[in-house]
Amino acid sequence: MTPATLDHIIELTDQLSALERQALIEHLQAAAQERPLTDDEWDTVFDSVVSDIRLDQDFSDHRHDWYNDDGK
Amino acid sequence: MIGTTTMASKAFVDTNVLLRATHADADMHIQAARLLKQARRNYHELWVSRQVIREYLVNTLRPGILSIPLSASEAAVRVSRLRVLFSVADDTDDVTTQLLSLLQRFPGGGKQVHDTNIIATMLVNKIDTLVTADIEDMKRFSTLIKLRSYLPT
Repeated sequence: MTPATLDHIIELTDQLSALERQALIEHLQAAAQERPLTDDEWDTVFDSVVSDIRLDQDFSDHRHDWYNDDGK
Repeated sequence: MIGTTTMASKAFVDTNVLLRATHADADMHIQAARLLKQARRNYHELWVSRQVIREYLVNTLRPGILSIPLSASEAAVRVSRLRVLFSVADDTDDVTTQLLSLLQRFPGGGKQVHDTNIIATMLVNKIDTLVTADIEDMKRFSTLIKLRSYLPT
């Protein structure tokens, strides 16, 4: 069997439905309890955390800005 | 010790890099995501802490930053995945003791305590490299830890 390449895995992942993709992530989350994830598996879980929600305001890089006492 | 590491055992991911790496609309998103993926390959373990998770939640739940702030259930899904990606350091009594020691060596204003607590957490967990987008504030600790960033150092 030919070893899967990252590009091939990404291509296949892109073809999955949202539900199938969720199942894949859950599989990798379960796998992570048993053994360290491979680099490619880690990248797949990482990419699932990346959000495309638009930002109204860019993040501050400075921790002191996150602790403003503005009541929010 | 700024920006010169290659192979090491543990690296700590600062909240600012985590936020930029996980939001495609953030400035420097591509650079931050690439830095994290590279760090995953260069270090045996990537760490965050309970403090980093709280700060991530502050930024993603707070009105005015994300155009649609995360719901509590969405935040829970995100954090469950972050806990798969990273080892999570606890706020322990040893961290508090280390924090108090560092505050004597690196005195600063009130809010700088939060930066200092990151360094205390790293030292207690024997993590020598901080992956951060805030070189400006963290470089004062560069005698204790190495700093890595996508920014020029």
